Amino acid sequence: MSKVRRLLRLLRLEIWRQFIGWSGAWWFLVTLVVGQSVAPLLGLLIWLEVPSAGPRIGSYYLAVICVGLVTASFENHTFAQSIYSGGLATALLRPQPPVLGPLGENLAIRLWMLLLGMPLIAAVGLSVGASFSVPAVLAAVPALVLAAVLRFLWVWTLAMAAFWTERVHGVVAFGGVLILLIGGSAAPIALLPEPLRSIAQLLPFRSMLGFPAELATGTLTAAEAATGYLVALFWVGALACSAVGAWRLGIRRYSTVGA
Amino acid sequence: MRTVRLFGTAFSLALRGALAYRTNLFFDALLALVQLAASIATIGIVFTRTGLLAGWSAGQMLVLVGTYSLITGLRATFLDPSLADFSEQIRDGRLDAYLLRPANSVLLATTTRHAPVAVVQCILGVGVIISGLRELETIPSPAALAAWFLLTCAGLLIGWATSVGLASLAFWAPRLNLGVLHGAAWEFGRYPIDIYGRCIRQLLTFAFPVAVVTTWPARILVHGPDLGTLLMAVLLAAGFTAGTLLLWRLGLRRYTGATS
Repeated sequence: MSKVRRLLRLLRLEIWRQFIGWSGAWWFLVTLVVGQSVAPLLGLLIWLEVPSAGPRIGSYYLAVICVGLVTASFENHTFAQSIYSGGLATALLRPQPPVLGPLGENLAIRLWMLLLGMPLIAAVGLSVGASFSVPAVLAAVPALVLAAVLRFLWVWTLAMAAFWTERVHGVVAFGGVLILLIGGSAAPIALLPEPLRSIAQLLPFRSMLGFPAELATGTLTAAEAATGYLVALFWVGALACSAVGAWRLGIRRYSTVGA
Repeated sequence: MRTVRLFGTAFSLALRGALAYRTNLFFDALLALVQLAASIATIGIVFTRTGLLAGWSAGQMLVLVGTYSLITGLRATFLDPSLADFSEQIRDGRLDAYLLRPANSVLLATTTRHAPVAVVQCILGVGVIISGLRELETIPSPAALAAWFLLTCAGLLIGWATSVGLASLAFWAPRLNLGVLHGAAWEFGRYPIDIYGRCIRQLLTFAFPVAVVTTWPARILVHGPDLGTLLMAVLLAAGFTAGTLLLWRLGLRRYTGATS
C-alpha cells in the first residue's frame, strides 16, 4: 500500500513539475489545442449540413472536442524523442517506473490544453446551442477516464516503435487516422454505414473518443452504455498488455551513448 | 532560368537522398495513401446519409478532395521542408547562409529544401480527380483545364505567400511559430467553403483564401471557366504575394544575423 502511495506521490510531483515546465510554452499549447480541435470542428460543420444527422449533433461534437482535449497524447514527440536522443537512459537510472515520466508529462499537457481550450469550448457551445443533462454527463465521466487511459496506452505503445524505426510519427499518424475515421470524429458511430458501424463498436477507437461523447449527449440506451463500458474495459486490459510487452521487447534493443 | 535550374538541382539532390532510404520511402507513400483513403471514406460516409452536401454531389466532392490532395502534396514537397524550422533559422542566424548567396534570398530560404516522397500525394490526388470526373461523366473542356491549372498555380502561390508571411513574423517575434495554426486553417480547404457560415466563408475567401486553393478550382473543372473567379484568384494571389514580399523586406531590415 505504501508503494502505491509512493508512486502516486511521485506521479503528482511529476505532473506538477511538467505543468510548471509547460507554462512557458503557452503559445505552443494554444496551437496544440487548435490542431486537436480542427478535425471535430470540420466534422461538426459537415454534419450540420446533413438533415438526417439529428438535433443533438452540435452537442455531440462539442463533447468530442472536450474529450479530444482531455485525452490528447503526444508520446510520439515526447517519449519517442527521448528514445532517439538517448534521454531515456536517465529515466532508466531513476528508482521509479520509467512510465511515470511520460505519464506525468501527458497529464500536465492535457490539463493545459483543457484550460486553454475553454474559450473555444464556450464559443462552439454557444454557437451550436449545445445542452447536456447532469446525469448524462456523470454517466460519461468514467468513460472519459477510460478514454484518457486508452489513448495514452495506444499512443505510448505506438511511440515505442521508436525502438525499432525512425518512422514513429508515421506509425502514430496511422493510429490517428483510425481514431479520426472510426473513433467518432469523422462521423458519429451511429451514422456509420454497416458493417463499418459494427466493426467500430468493437474496436478500441470509439472508446477513445466517441463513446464518452455519446454518453454525455444522452443518445445511448442503458444496454448500449453497458456494452460500451465492457468494450472499453477489455481494450484497457489488452492495450496495457501490449504496452508492457512492447516495453520489455523494446528495452532489450535499446542502447545509448556509452552503453 | 537560373532559378529553375537551382530548383531542379535542389530537387534532384533531395530525391537522391530519399531514394537511399527505401523503407522510409515505402512507409511515407503508404501513409499518404492511407490519409487520402480516410478523406475519401469520410466523404463516402457523409454521402450514405445525403445526396448533396451544401449543393455538392459525391463526384464533385471527389474532384475537390483530389485538388486539395494535389496542392497539399505540392506544398509538402516544395515548401514545408524549408518552412519547418524557418523561425529557428532566424533565431539562430542560419538565415545568413541564404542572404550571402547570389540568388533571390526569399526563394532560397523558403523553397530549396524538398521532400520528394510527398509527390505521391500529388499523383494520388490526380487519380482522385479523374475518378471524380468519371463519376460525374464529365470531360472538362481545354478552357476548363487551363483555368483549373491557372487556379491551382494561384492556390499554390497563396499557400506559399501565407506560409512565408506567417513565418516572417518571426523577424519581430522570434519565438512565434504559427505553422500549426496555418496547417489547421489549411484543413478548412478539405471541404467546399459552401458548408461554412457567411462570416467563415468571407474569411476563407479574402483573409485566408483556401477557397482559391480547392473550392474554386474544383468548381471550374466541373462547371467550366468563369472569368470573374479567375480574375479574383489572380488578384488575391498577386496581393498576397506582394504583401509577403513586403513583409520579408521589412523583416530583413530588422534581421541582425548570427554574429550580431
